[in-house]
Amino acid sequence: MSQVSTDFAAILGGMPQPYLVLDANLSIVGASDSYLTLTSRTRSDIVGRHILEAFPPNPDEPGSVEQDALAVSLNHVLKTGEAHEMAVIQYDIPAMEGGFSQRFWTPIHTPVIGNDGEVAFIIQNPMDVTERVLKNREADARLRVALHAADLASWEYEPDTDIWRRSPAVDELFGFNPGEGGPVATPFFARMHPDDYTRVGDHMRSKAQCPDQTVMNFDYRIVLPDGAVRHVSSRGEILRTSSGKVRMIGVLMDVTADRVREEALAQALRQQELLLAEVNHRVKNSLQLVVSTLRLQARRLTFPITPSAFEEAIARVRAIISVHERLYRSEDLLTVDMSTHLPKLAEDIMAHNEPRLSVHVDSIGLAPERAIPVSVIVNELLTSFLPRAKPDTMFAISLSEAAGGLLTLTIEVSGSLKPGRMAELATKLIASMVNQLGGSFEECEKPGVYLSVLSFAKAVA
Amino acid sequence: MALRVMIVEDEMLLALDLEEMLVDAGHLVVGRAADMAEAIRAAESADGAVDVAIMDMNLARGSNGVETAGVLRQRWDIPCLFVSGNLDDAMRARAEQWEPIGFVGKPYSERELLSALESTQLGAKR
Repeated sequence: MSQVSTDFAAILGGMPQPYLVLDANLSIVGASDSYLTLTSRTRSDIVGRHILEAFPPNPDEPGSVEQDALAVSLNHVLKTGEAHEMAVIQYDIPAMEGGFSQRFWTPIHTPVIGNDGEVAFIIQNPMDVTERVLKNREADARLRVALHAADLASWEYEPDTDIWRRSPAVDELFGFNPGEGGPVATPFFARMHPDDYTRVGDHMRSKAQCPDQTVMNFDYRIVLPDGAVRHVSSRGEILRTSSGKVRMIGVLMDVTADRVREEALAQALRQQELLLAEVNHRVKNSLQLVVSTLRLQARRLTFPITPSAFEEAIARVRAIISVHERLYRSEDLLTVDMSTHLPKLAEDIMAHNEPRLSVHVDSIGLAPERAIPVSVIVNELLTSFLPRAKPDTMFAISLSEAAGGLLTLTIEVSGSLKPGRMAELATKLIASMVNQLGGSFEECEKPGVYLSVLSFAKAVA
Repeated sequence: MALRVMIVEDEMLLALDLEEMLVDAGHLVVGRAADMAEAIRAAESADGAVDVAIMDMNLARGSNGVETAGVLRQRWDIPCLFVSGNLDDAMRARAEQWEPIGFVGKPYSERELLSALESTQLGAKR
């Protein structure tokens, strides 16, 4: 055999396809002529330089040279010793006439393993897809418009390299300023709610085993730097590269408003349930009060029973149940609006008589367990004095609130009165109700005027 | 047989009615209370000589009928007859631990309450 030295440099130069060869430091060691033609460069221009330096970014148009994604792919090959096929990246090339020319690529990086078992070289087959991408522009534009219209953000994720390509809307959703997010998903996933992180990770890993076009749906929360929580819904699909590497492609939708609405609805429902239980409890309690009141009165009935005994009973029941007509909801509590309740109660009691009545009540909301005793006291006093009224008799009722939530109820009966005294049950009921309110009750009767003053705290101590 | 009854109820009207009802039926009302502290004072002043306490589940000033029943049972071995307007399962289960003589829902009738009391006589005080 003759000694023939094989000129491998010449062979590489003559390769009919575009190839670039890098060493383990990502410095260019050689390129095929086809590569030089494709990129409008000369060998002396690029050999010996770091790839990112030989193919620099365009300072006038940020984002038009995706150096970060390229670096991630190359470093992945160095680390794993496995070939890597990139998704479409834009990597504009300096043009001979100055400026940059727009180019799209799907580079394939193939490692060459040295004698020591480490990656010694990486061969790049750049795969110029500019023509195809530009041809698909119209379709891409349509897709962008559709995504935009649907308020969707699109993403593409490669678990092997963590490369995370996405539309600017994704960065916005995760609270990153333009250019802040970087080429990989890690900083994004770091903003995922800790309670969702594991679940989403498991979901993605399990789906990665599935065939192409397997649909993946998952929802999660993003915790923004200011602590606010954003709910997103992700819909995607498995799409492998020609070499079988898993890639996921999908869209992201902000569903915070929906979640907030659902939460508010659920909360409202819980409150409704609580309120219903509360109302039930109140009703049963009031019915029990009615029954007890009637029993108290029944034990005092003497025969023959007169209509006035029935009227007394009806008035007592009405004083208790009338509170329910004025129950309204303030926050989570049931309250009785005293400024409408008391005048109505007094007018109902006085209905069949025509004495002059004046009622003055401040705007006061009372809990039903306070409003009922007040109503019972008003009823007992008015019904006791009504039979004693003469045409010139005046009834004046007032309920006012002083500082510290102290309420004062005064009932004044002026003018001439027929003689009479309060019944035993009425006295007993008033004393019991004053006791229940934890209040004080004073009364005095002089010729021509009766005055009673009840003082009690608005809220239960 | 006449029972010595304590009334623990924050609705004074109901307490009044209960008292008259018990007295008419020949029982003895030995104490009245609207909350836990008053119930304990009443039991102390009766020296524990109470056959049964009629206990409202929700008492005044946020105190709780079940807890009050627990104190009466543990310190004086006084059993309770619970009275409540809203008796859910969880509440009932908690009340059961103090071996009440029964439960009566609001609104109750005179017959209901008195016949529930009668059962005390069977498990009379040791």
